[in-house]
Amino acid sequence: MSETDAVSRVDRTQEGAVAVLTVNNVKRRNAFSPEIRAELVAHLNDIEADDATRAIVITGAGGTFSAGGDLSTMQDMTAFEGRNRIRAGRQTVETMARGEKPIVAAVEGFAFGAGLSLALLADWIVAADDAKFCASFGKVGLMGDMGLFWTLPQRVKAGKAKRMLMLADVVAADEALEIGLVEAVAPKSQALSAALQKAQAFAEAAPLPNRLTREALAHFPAGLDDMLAYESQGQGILFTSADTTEGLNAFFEKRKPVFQGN
Amino acid sequence: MSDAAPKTLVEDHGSVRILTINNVKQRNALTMDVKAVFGPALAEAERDPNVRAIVITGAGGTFSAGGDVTLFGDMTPAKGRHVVYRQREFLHTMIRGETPIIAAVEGFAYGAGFGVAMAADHIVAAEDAKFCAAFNKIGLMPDGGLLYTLPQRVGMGRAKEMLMLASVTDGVEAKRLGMVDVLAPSGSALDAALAKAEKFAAAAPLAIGAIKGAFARWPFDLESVFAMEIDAQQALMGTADATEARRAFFAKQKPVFKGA
Repeated sequence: MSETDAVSRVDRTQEGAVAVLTVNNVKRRNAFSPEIRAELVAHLNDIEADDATRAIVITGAGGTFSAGGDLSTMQDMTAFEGRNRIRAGRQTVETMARGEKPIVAAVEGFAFGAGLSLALLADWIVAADDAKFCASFGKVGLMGDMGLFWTLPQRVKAGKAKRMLMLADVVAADEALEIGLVEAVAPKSQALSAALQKAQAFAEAAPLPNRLTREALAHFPAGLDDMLAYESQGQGILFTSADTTEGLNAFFEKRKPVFQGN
Repeated sequence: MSDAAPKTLVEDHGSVRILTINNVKQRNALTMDVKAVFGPALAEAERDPNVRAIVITGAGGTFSAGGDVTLFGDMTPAKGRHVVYRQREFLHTMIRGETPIIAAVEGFAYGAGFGVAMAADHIVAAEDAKFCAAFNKIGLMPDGGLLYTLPQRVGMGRAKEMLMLASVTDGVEAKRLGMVDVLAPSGSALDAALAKAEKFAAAAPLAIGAIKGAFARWPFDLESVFAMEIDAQQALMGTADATEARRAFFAKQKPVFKGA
């Protein structure tokens, strides 16, 4: 194994209230190795506890998002080792899906395999106009993982989801926008700045209702009465928050509200 | 508009009932006064066997600006929960009822008003209509059933942007995203909704009711779908309407359904 001689890490930088996490394993096109996964989860846990951070951007170094699982670490894997690896991946999925802070993904280049799964765990995705998305698992005899069977059908319809998962259809940025796989397209190499701008909007939005909204939507799929219970219980608490008082004052005074998260 | 005017106007066009939210001074905000009339009017329309389709719209060129912000400053958690909880009186009628509901949206469908529009089976929007889950602007989360209805129509990514950032979507964009079903020129959403309501009204009502009932159970797995099909289809096969439809089919005529 050559894991030690290659740079394989997740860098964190901070832009005001926005934390930027950059998957950095450029030699392997940011392949999603167990080390990367563990660092990502550690950063996300730190950010979750950091009150000053209101939104997260995830991106990849060197002009690509992530080419997916690190095939070099999958050689000679026994069935049980494979199972353990997927179970470890579950922690990444749960941390991203159940966390309280909004996540924006900035995709340049490739979001393939587990890289696609990672992008789809974000709340809002911007793709560079030459970005490409592919559930490439089938090409190496595998099925989609890291929550893809949960996230992909939330965004695209069943027919397209099956073509992506079963035929490894490559989806270009413009089509991704059209079918709801991503929310925006930016010119090449400007995905990160577009993501930062949107993350800033998430950071300025009232954080408490968005935590409750994100949490409720993470119960997908849920029935009508579950969702009505989330909204009435959540709203009851939010009505008495300082941010709602601020929001109402700003509304009546016709100014922009400033939310403190309490 | 005088205070004596009913807060929901009720009008029949043949077998189509039009319910018009009428609180123009507050842009048809869903105040307690409005809800006290709108909910029962909706329930009554739903119960009436002569009503085969319901159109919901707003008076004065706008759909509904949402909740009554004048109430929001003076809430306890219990009171706030109660206000939101009671919206299910009309949301259940809209989503779990058996009569098809068409929303005709002009102007603003904001906050809970957006929720009412999205709870309809079929939505007609004027080109310049504006939809916004405005809740976050005042520190609140989406209600009016939007957590349930909106992702079904636009997918989760777009729904999250609308729900978490209170972004505004106009009629043209709403049509492109599948958030609404029909786009109408400004000022003619109600006409377009009535034309569509006639089609819903002419469809076999018991089947429509069973279909609405099935969708209202979303999400469901395959076994549940089989169960719903078996339960409802065997009842439908024995109805006079099914007999009439077979007769009309072979006679090459248009069937006339009686809901029996």
